[in-house]
Amino acid sequence: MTDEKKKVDYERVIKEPRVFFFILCVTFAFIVILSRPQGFVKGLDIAGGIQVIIAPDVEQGVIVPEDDMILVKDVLTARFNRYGLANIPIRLAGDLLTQNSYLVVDFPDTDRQTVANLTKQQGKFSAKINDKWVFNKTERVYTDAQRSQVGRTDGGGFMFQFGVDVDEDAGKRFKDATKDCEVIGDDLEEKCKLELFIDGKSLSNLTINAELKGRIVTSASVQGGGTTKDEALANMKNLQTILSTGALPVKLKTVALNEISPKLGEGFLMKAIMAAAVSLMGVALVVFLRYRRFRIVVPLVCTAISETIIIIGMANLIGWEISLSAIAGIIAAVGTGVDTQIIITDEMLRGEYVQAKVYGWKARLKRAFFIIFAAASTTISAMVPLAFVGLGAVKGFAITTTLGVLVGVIITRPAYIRIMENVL
Amino acid sequence: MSDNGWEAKWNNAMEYYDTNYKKLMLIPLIMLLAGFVIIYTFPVERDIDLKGGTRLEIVTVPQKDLLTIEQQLGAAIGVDVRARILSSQGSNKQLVIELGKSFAEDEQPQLIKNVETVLGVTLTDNFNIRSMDPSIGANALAGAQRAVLIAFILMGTIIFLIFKQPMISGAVMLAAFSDIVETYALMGFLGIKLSLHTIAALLMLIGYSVDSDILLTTRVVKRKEGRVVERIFSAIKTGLTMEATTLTAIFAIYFISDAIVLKEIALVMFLGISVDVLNTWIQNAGLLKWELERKEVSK
Repeated sequence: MTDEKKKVDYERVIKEPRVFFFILCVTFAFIVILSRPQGFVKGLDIAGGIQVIIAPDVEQGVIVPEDDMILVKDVLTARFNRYGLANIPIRLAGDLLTQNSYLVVDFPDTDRQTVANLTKQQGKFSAKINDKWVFNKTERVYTDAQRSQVGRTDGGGFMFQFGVDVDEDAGKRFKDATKDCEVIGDDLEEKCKLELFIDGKSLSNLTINAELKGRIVTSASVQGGGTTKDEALANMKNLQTILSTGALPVKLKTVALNEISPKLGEGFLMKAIMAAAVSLMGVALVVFLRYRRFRIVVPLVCTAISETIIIIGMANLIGWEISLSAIAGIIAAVGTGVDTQIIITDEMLRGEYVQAKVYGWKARLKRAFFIIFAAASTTISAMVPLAFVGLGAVKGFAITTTLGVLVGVIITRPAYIRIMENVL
Repeated sequence: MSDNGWEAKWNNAMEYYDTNYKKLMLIPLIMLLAGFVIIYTFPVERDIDLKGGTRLEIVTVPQKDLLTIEQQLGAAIGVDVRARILSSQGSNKQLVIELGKSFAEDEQPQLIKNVETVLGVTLTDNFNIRSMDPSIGANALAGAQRAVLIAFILMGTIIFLIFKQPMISGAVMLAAFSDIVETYALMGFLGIKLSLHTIAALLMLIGYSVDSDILLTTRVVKRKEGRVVERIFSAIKTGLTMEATTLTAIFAIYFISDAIVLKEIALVMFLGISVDVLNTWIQNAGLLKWELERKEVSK
């Protein structure tokens, strides 16, 4: 180790293109982070809520076309909006390696019954009279106060009813089904009742007014009840939602249901960030113990910190989800970066580069870059296949690590080498 | 000067290594064989994201002992229950309850009520629950297996492209392979479950192992100055620094964070790096030295 205390020409170092670019990136990232707090999307792990993963309920081996799943997504989105839950993230996720399609829905704190109602009901509406099918969907569902109401029943419970319209053809079928019915008093006979079904389950059984016999009727009323007023209201709202948004093209089943407490999630985030900060300090300590020269330790640690800032900035810019695994990915990427920088530093320290300045320099640089690319490519080749697996968790880790490694190779490492050249 | 004490030890170690390196290589070999045996006798279990099931993470200090909780809850639900405590420095202890069955929306409220009764604690914002159907678990497992296979093929190709010579590439791949086998064995032995995140940790491990092998090989093969063993030991010096930094990060994550996912990733990486020390610096280095000396002799 040479004892020549080389004076570091800071100005010259900063003006070097690679170093300048690096500093530019860090500053830019800093500005992005500070000015765009909304860019940080919190993943479920941290924000909390209920996550439901839905799959088509079909036999093994049956493949549901993607278009059907897109339609499911649209119907569900409509249902959520109708019900009053706006902006529920729902995404189609596929395990590319096994070709199954799933829908991942992230609800904020909601009760499970609502979740079940909104996602599991297929919503096939049908009606029959005297064993003949007359209606198979609704054209309009009425939710206004005139045509939908809740009232008490004699038995102490509550009932609701709301109007629905059906199309012309359905109306004609109604006419055909009722024209031969006998009239008893004000209504049609016992067997000519209008039975409404949803998903095959009987909804209501209505007697038909004698006036409607043989007529084209395009409206009906759906009835139901509940033990309390709230329950009746909830049931009515649920039915109105399901009927108005239409039936799902395929039956669905829940394959995963996760509930994360926001409070716990917040705690996890804090601890993870603390762990990252302590890691950085620990690394600084180790590096100092090994090299003991500030002119090595300072650039090494500073580039590591800067790299972290750049990665976080990028995550913010592209709206990447902050999750626990993403944080782990950042720590992994920066850790790999620090290791590579240690290798480079040692390469540059070794030997009598004072004498071999010209030839040895070039060879050393070439070797340093070779090491960078080699190390980076092994990490990336491990992470890229992983990015296609699973429905979010590990994806975050894989993508963040890959991103971090790329930032390191393209931005940080070249700058670091240039800095070290001038400092050693 | 205290330096002399260290230097002398370093030099002694180096000389010992120079003469005995072939015998020393038996150690990693025995470890590898032991690894296979352990994998067979302590098979690694799959976590819920690979086989389905339910896990509850509750922030509470249980008043009853774990066995009682398992029995009472098991009786109430009719499914086998496993309970354990997860703790981290100066923070909330978590009770982790695992069940082999998945619970959908209509079944979960009852499950939660049962847990509340057994524990005597109300579950509001102090718990997480994850429940996965076996079908999605099997799907994730199939995907993970394919990803690992693709990763191996890619990494193998890159290793060949980097090192070019079959002998050296073989040594690097052997080191990575040994790392994985031995870490996997330790996972089975210690009861760490295989999950998507632990698989990710194992893949990161390969990357790390190859990094240290790149260091070793670059120093030893591409340089010509000094004796082989001197070059090996200079690489060890760098390698130990790398390990120290990585281990500090891992310890920080393991002891400070209280999320199961992060702790398990840290634990697997710790085991892997510890194992990698012997595989890289004794086995891989030994093989390199052997190969270089063979070439010397044949000149």
